[in-house]
Amino acid sequence: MAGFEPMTPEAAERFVAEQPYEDRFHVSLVGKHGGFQPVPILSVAEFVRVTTGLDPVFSADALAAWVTGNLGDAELGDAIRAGCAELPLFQQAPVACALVIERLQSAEAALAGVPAS
Amino acid sequence: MATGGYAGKILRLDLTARTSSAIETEKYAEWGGGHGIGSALFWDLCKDKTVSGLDPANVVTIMTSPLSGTMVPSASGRVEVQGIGATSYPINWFTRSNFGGRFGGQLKYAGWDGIVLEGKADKPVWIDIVNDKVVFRDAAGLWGKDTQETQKLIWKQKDDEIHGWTEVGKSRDGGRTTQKPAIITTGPAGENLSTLGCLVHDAGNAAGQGGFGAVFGSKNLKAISVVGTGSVEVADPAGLFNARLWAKDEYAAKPGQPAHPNGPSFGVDPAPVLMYGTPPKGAKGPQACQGCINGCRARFDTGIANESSCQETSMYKAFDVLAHGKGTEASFIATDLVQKMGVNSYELMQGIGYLYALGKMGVLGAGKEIDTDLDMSRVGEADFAVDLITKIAYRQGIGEDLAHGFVRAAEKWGRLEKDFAAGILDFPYWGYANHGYDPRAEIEWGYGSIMGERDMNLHCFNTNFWSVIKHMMVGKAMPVSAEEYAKIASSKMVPYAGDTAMLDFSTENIYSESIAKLVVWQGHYGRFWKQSALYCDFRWPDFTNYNRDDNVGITGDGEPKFWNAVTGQDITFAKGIELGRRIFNLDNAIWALQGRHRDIVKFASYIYDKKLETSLVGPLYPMAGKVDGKWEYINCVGRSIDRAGFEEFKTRFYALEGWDSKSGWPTRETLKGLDLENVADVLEEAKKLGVA
Repeated sequence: MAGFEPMTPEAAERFVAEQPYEDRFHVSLVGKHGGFQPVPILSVAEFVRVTTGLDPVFSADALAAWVTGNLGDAELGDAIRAGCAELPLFQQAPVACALVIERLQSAEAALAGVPAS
Repeated sequence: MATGGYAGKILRLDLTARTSSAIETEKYAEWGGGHGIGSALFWDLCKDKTVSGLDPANVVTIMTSPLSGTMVPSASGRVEVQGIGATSYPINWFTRSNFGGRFGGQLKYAGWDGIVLEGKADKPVWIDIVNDKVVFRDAAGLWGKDTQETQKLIWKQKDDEIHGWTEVGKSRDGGRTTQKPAIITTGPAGENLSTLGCLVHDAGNAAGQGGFGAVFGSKNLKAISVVGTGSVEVADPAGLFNARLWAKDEYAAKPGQPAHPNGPSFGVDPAPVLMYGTPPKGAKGPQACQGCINGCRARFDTGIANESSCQETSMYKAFDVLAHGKGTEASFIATDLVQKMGVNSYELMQGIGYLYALGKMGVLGAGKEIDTDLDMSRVGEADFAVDLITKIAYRQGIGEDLAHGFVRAAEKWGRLEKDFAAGILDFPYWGYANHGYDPRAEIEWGYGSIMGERDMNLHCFNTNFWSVIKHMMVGKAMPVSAEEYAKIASSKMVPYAGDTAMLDFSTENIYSESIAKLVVWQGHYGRFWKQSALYCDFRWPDFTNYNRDDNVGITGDGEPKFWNAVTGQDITFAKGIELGRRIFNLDNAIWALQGRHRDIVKFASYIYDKKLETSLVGPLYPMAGKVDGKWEYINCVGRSIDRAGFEEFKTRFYALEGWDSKSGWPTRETLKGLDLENVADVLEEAKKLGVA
């Protein structure tokens, strides 16, 4: 557990929001042949779904930049960079994914406390 | 006369007149086989080479090689299809496609080296070939059937007929066979002239790129069936047998030897290439083309998507996983349906990504700028795949636009330039889909495609990319360093052997003369050894082979050894490369007549204007290269192609080919040196002859 600071409802809302297509992040599926097959990711929920379902590769730095710049979560971005820094490329996905899942749970908890308007 | 691997004659079919005749193969044997003979036939027989691919005047060739139907490893089962295609943008180039299976062997056993298709039948027909008996048959009962139904109906009809079972015959093999006819057929997509239309043979062997399914459809030709009871006369049977043993002993893994991860090459272990997110459940068996040492396909007891391989099996994976968090049956259903409808999965895969982008951007959907009832909220589900593929195959709704290809659809929607600029329409060269080996990273793939006429689909040097990736995936060190790889590969690349800079993919080198040599060599190797001799792209060439202590692959020695054993010739590897140069020159002459000029040889704009960032493709794209003078496997992500640099590359490429650097057209001097002065005469008359 990374022990993140609790999220505010506003931060959580931004964190879970679907991003415009222009601001997508790509993970890549690698098969036996056929090159990298990029999967456009528009939200952390999609990231978690694809990353837990398969074993994609992606740039940890690019993911950190995306969660920091687009989702507004610099703390998670720093944790991803630190967690993946020393790992071989093909071992980074589970570590980054675990961090994102932890943060997503924080966001969901923050949003659960917000009364429906 | 049948000799040296050749059946001796080529079947010429006039669909308009419903007549058949024979062309002596000997007249064209100087071109080797496959693509070389196909180009020469097209040159002679297609009177107006500027017609569209769907014009009745288009001429299509379906060619085997002397090696087809023999025991040459991974070279016996391929068949080359050529003619004016229906896919490329902005011009329907004279192009090629290729499929595996057992069609080539059966055609040879029936006594034919190839087939030429001319004209257009007045009503749907299929061609029934049993040895030298050729019958034009009514295809009314087949038209509208999918590719598998079509073949089953033909098999049933043939089984019900007497076609040799009770004949004693006079041929060496008695004129009998237990073989099912081998059939190549178009599906509903091709019948309806969708430019995504493929030709499909058996369950999953397809001539996918080029739109030849639509070309068949335009000729009212549903299918060609062939069964033969003869054999292939090999010049040196003992030599061929010994060559196969030599290849196994020297280059295959020994029993118990651990498998090395590698890309597609001779030394890699045989295995089906299945790329589904989650593999199908149930019993699985391998399936291979005739004479192949691999078996890159598989059959399942479900019968769904049988014999599909490689990209076909990952066509829908990204969106399947996006929707479900894992691969599901949706992928199998989508793959199965493209085979049955005869739809080009490469174009469809990138096309789905484009539609998804447009949907997310609010441009495409019910009541949107691009108004369609295609339910974009269902992307990744089986019903979406079925709806989209059906629409494309039957030209329903948005399928009417997409049947012209995604690039032409974008053009019709007024979005071509902006969607190229945004990089969401990932079709970098001649309207063909990105193969997955982006031109900005894997230079030779992109350059080879744009200097040719289609997504080139030659894995010659791409193999090393896969080798690095696969070793990384399993945490193993590469058996050869980048420098060793460059030395081994370049040592085989006659006539440029020894120039290791040909394998330097560093940004500083990608417009150099050495890279121009690489692309030229790849084109010439491809045109002869892969597309004329018909060595399979999944096993040849073999530069580095990790089954050997010296890591040196079979390429250079293997190709001519097998060729010479079958043909009785004595050609060198270099001679084959030179033949490839001759064939490539003839192809370029045809393209010149069709409107090719240096000024239109350029990538889609995003290849120049948008860097291939890690956020777009992934963290790395490893290729051999130099950093500060030292070799390493470098990361080619993060760059774009410089327009001026690419123009410099083109000038160097044209110089190496001996073509006019201003127009890119062949010159008389070069053509004369290749004994193609008659081609120069035609170009001169058309004012398309280059100036030396």
